Amino acid sequence: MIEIDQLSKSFELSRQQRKEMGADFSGKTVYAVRDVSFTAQPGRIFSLLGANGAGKTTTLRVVATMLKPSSGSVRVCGLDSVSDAPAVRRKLGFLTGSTGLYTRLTPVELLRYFADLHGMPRELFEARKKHYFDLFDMHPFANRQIGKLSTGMKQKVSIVRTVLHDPEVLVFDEPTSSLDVITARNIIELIRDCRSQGKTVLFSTHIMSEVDMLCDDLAIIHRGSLVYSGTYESFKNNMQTSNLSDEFVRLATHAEKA
Amino acid sequence: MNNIRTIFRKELKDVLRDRRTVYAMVLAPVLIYPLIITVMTQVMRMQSEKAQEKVLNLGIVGQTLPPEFAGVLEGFGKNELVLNLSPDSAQWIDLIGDSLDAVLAFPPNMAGQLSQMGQSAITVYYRATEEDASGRVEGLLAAAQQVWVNQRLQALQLDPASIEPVVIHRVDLSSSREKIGQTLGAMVPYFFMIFCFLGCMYPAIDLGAGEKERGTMETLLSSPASRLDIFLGKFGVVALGGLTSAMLALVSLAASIKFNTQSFGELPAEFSESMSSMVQPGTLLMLFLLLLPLTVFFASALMTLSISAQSFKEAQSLISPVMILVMLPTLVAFIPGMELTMASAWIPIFNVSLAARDILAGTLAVGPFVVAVVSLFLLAFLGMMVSLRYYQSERNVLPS
Repeated sequence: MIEIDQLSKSFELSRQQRKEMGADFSGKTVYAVRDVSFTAQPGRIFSLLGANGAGKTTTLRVVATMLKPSSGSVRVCGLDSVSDAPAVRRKLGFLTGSTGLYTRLTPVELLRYFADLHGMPRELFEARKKHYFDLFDMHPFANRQIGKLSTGMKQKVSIVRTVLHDPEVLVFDEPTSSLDVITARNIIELIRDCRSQGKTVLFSTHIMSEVDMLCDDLAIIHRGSLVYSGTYESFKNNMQTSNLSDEFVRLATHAEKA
Repeated sequence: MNNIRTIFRKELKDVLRDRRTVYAMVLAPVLIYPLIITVMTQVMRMQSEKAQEKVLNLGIVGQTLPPEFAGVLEGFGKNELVLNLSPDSAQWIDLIGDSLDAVLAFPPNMAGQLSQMGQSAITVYYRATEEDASGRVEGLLAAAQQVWVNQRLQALQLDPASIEPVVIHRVDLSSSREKIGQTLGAMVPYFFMIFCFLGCMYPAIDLGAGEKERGTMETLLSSPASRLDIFLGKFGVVALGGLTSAMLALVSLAASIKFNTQSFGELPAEFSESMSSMVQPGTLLMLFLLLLPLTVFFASALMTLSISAQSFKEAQSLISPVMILVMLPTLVAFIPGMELTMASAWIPIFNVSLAARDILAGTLAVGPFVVAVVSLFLLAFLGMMVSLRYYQSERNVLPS
């Protein structure tokens, strides 16, 4: 479970950044996320929907303990993301659309590296590796340098790297953003599998069709603040426009006016 | 500790598979000294052979040479005379530097002037830019002048010692190691600091800015490894890169001097003896005491710059000016009169340069050396703390 309570995250601006903000801006900090609260439940997929720069990545980075909240709290499986950060990371699988891989390593070396960082015993690693290599048909390129693999093969390596240590919570930050339709399908399947295994899934996207395909619970974030949080079913039932995209734009416009 | 070891092993494997890093860390320091020294020795040998073989083409204004000058000329290597040039210099002046190396104009009544105890004058036309030829002509004239002076003294029935009231006997107490060490000792720290810097540079860029650019940093940060684990694991590889490069450069230098001494026999025996006295465990240990904190400092500074950058290119452009800034103080050991004192021993890099020179020359003073080592360890510690702070900063460590 992921519990986010009144999360705010601000960043100090450099002199150059302050200049770029224009003459009207007088502060030294800017809020990427302000007073965000929601809960992602086990066995359900929670979608964080928002335009580019809305604060999705910042929220997910706080969940993954890469960033510390300026105020508010984040708890993952009951553990605080600041005081229990290493324990939180042990329970977490994190994948982003821009995730790169160590191109000079082979898939086996890369997976062994992350398994070691998670303190996974060798026998368990071998068993899990075999399971996923069989599942994704990865044996033919298991010992080839990652730099020489196709995008699809690399994506398979990324997926296995994310789930290899059997995390309770999975965080996906725009996981399909730079992928073709077929490769993106692997990620969609992975997210569904995680739900069926009872894991907590939090994924951010700006692609409306993905929300429709996957999501159980939804939060819409606009300029750092939540404009909707609830079940997807309730969201659909209360839509004042004919489709998801229009409803998203309506909510964003309404929030700006308010 | 396990995570640090895991990260260290992985990063080491990763950088060793990168051609650029292997070139800067291993191949360049191993190859550069043999290359420089072999080329230098060969060029020097060729130049010296060429100088010996070179025929000095002298033009003479006048029909005959003074016999004293002709006698001196015989002992001065190969030469060819073009006699009887016109007193009008316009007719041959353009030939100097071309078919003639110099022209000597002896006055027609020179013998008469000398026999009457008068003063004669020789005019020499030459090009100072033609150093080889002008040097030989100067030597020739100085030797001839000595003959004429001795003749004059004999005629005056004076002992040549009477015009040299004081004879100076110089007793040089500096050993050949000191003399060679002063020159070579200035060169060695310059090169080993360059290689130390370069050995740290590529791994630092690759493991900092490179990792951010490739999009692998977020994955690593979401693993159970702490920022400290990540920093120390990467730091170990960067520092090892610098240390390996510098040590390889030193070993390669010693080996290439030894090889060149044996194969060409061009260098004096005392040179190779001095070299072996420099390559002693004590000397190497003292160099290592300087090199270790210096490497830690370089690794820290480069990792700090690298993690501040968003891409490999940006890191390179940040580091290039720093490299020049770091290399300037290494040149001070070449400046005569620069000494390692209790005060100068506190100046980073400058102190390594001077201390290494003194270590190799065997003239090291213990006090300033201790100060230099202590100040370098302090600097290294501070550098590491700053770098760690940068690695722990959210703004630096995450791709924007």
